[in-house]
Amino acid sequence: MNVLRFFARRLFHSVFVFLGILTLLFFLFRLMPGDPTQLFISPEMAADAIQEIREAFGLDRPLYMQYLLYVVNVCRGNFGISYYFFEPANRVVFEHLRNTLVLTITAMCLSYLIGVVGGTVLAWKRGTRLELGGMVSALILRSAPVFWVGLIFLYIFAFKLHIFPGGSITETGEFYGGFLEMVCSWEFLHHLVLPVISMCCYFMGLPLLLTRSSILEVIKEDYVEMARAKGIGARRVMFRHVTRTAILPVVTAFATAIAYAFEGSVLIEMVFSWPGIGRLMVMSLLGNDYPVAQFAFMILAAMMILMNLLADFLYGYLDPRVVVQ
Amino acid sequence: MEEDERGTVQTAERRTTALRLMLRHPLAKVGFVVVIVFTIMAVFAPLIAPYHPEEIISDSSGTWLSYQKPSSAFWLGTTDMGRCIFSQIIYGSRTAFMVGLLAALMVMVIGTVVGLVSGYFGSWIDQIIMRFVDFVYGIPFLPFAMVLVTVIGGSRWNVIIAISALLWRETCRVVRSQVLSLKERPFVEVARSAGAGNLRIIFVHLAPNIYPISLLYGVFAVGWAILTEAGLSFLGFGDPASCSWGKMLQEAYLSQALSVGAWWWIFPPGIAIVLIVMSTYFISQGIEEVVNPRLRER
Repeated sequence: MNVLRFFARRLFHSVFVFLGILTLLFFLFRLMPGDPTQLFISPEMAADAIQEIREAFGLDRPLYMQYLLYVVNVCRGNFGISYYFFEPANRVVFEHLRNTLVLTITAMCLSYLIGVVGGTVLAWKRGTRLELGGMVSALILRSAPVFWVGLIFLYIFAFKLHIFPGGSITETGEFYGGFLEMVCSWEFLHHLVLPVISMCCYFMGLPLLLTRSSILEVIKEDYVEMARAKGIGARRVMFRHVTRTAILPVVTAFATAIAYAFEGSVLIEMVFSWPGIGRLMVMSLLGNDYPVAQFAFMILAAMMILMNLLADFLYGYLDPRVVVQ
Repeated sequence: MEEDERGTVQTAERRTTALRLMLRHPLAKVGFVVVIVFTIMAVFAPLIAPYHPEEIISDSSGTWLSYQKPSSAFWLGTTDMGRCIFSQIIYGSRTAFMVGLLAALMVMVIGTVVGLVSGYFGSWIDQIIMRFVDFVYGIPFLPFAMVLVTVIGGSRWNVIIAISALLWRETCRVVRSQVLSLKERPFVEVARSAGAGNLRIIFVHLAPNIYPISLLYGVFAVGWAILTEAGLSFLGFGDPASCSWGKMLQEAYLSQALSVGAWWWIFPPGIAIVLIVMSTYFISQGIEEVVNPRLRER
């Protein structure tokens, strides 16, 4: 009962946060340099199309009416027409969104796999040279700008050794029946390797350090001593008894990390010309394609809120003490 | 008066022990050395750098010395336009320092004050502030900075504002949770019964206990701000007039330095960023040792 109320309250808050962000976006984009009608109308559009957009967004009416119409349009999923693609902004954004999802989710799963295993090993080897080396390299990797790591990989593996392609998502001229067919092709996986590894370099640091410190807490517990006293092997105790408990904070960190990876993928997408939502947003901001920029931002914000909510839920589920407060 | 003097002596003593404790940490020592080297670079940039970062260097016949490999004349080689990369690195440290320190200062001040107020007053004030912090947590960091810089223009000051506008959220939450437990301590009750007002309790009695933790998050913020500035400049949202390591990487990327094979243009800016950000992490490890005495025993 308590748990349900906690979840309901968090959900309620999240809806308000999203409304707040819609409002912030409305005013931010109204403040963009240039005429506000430019936000939705490009000079190349036909006269009747311009009239239609003017009415849909209430561009001739007072600001508060524009705001209300904006909220209505957001609910209907109407964000105007892209100047660059000449397609509805939401269709453009969703097409790019799935590319970003494939990239970030692959990268995060790999990062957390490496991070958890690596963190366990570091905690196990506490006090040795290996631990110091592991900690220092994790800190160094976390200090490296993710786009620079991408550039270095690109330089070495694409331009020097010619093992991996120098960017984009597939070879130009290749056509696939559908998105799934493309994702499952060798060509796609070949293009996925470098961006995923570059992202991993940065994102595996957090789970590594988290797992290590969490294990060092758990390892002092009595039941670990007990398991050891029963004569269970060190490796088995470590992975079966200690890591399973210690992993809880890492699991909740995973949800928020996906959200950060999502917005952080902007940089990696630019380096590898990956047609994802981050690159789309940069291009549309620099090219004044405001309908697309606005909607892309909204989707990124929605992902942030959703993942924060998920982290709260996971936390409340795994650690019931949070709910009581 | 006498008591006051004794008090300051004690805090001064405490500060030196804190510094000594911090420096006992081997990584923190390395961090301090790196920071000192970069500080000297930033302060004396015009004296150290052999050329102006924007100067196009040409030989006696007037042709640009572009894509020169590192040599005794150009320690880190030249760019496609014949600019000295070593000088650009030196001048770039100024941007990194300014952005890192000012953004961190803003993050520390905003985060600490808001966290103190929220945690101390509690009830509806805390509710309102925490809902606002939830809202700030919902905003994607880098995309927001991109949009804000597009709106207010890409000067160095605006980049600093865009970075600190969101980054204070973490400091605020941490400070608040510290205040929640601190304000239950007897010394707050004593101060209140001695007639201290809310503001006095917050800023004279609670704040000094919060400084170490907000300093720790301030040091994190230095690293974050430098990384974000580099990212923004790389994406083309930085200050076009200033020389920064991120902008160097953007220029290198756009002018196809990768396919030309100009590794000397790609590596140095990144290594400079890694060194300075890494040293902030190392220093933060030293601070953690002071803030969290349990770590010392392990």
